[in-house]
Amino acid sequence: MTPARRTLVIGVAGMTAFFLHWFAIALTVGRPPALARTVAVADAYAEPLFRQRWRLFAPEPSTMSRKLLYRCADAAGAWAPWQTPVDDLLARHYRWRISHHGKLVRIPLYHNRQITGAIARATEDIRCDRATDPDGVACARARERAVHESAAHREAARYAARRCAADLGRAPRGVQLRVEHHSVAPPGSHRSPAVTFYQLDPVWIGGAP
Amino acid sequence: MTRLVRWSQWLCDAPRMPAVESLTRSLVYAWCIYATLAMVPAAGEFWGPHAPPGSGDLFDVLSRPGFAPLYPVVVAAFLAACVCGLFGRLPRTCAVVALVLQRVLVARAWAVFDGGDRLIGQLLFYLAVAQLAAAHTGPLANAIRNLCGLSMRVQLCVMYGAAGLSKWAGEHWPAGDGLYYVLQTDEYSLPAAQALFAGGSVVLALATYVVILFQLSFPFLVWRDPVRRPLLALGALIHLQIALVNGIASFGFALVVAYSVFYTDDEARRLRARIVNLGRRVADRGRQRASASHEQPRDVATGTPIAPRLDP
Repeated sequence: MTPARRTLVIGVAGMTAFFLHWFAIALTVGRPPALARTVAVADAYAEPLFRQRWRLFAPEPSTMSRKLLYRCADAAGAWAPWQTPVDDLLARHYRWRISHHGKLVRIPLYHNRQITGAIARATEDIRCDRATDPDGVACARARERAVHESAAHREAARYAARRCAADLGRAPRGVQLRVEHHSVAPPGSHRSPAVTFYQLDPVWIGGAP
Repeated sequence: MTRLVRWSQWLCDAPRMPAVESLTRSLVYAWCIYATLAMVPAAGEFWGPHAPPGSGDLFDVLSRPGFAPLYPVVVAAFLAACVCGLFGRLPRTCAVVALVLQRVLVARAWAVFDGGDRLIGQLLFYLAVAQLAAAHTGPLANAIRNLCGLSMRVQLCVMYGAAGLSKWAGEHWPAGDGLYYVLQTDEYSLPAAQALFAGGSVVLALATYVVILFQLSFPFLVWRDPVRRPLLALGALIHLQIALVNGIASFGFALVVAYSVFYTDDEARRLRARIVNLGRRVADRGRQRASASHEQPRDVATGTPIAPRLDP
């Protein structure tokens, strides 16, 4: 093969590979519904090494500040006041912008997001039937149980238990969690943020007192 | 056909941006060292056995039973690979080791990592492939290096294009409120910025549109002068703001680092020379200071050494 022909072959092969590579990645980003099967193939190729989930506050910025609160029960089962690791970590993050606190604060916020997701899933999966449950108590209870038994709650409770152990100096008897959302007031309204919260049932370590 | 031949020649005849490749590699390694060292004080919280669950993918080795306590070894090996790579020691080994270990660390601490870590992961991949190809000569090696260089550029364009289009399809960004909401949340702002922009402002609405316009135009305008330099400067400003005001330092700095892929080879060579000179000057000054502190005191008038007085 002449050098010119070799160059042409390598060039065309390289350009084809380049085009196919970026075409597959573009498909995983755009996800056109008409090409669902091709997207699945592109996902199998691109997801392990070239995952492209660029959020950059898109499509919507967060419209709320999240908080994860917990409280610890001591050996006698008495509850300490509610506390949140978010405020302290944020205060440090405000002071030291390029330190580890910025990533550390993402851990309780991650648990908040996961529990919020579990609540949304429970609300969607467990439908209330007015005919069999007119006051909705059984339905609400079933949803609460689903959230309580979710992996998200288990993980967050473990996180809270470790923090309680550090606070109390020994393993807590129980922990309880609460997720809070402080909504940002729309521009121009100057309102105080509205707070919504969801309080989970306590988790007892070694049985309820 | 002529065009195909010309493109093939462009790809295969020579590596088109060796200085850009080298500068980007150094900056990416430096970023990896900074980002990892910044996390080391709380390493157990991110990668330890009690860290939040990992991504569960192929690289999430540290989540597997028995592997979790090995995280300090992985972090140390990753840092060592980045330092070696930065100083040009065992370049190919370091490139591959850094690529694999970065994926392992990101997969384990997936809950706290952001787009910056993912972008650097992509750059590490293309840089590693280019580094492996650089050991060889010939049209195939040149083509691989040039395609890796191009891929790094396209990667940035895809990222901005996807983010810009997604923002434009949303509700708050086209309404001019995107930055207002970002700056009013506790986790992505500073108390001073929250107070300054409480209730919103025209400046913030304008800045929101500038951000969308920047992201949508970047994939088209960044390829050619005279728009390239101002666009990169604007991007650097936006990302420094993201690093320092929004508090996503690793992401903001990662993007500033990634912009080096859009430098020309001459610019990359000049910047690299400047950084090396600065490093040498700092090292020289440090050495001078160290030797001055160890020198024997001299008589100011005659310059002769003063013998130390030994008290009984």
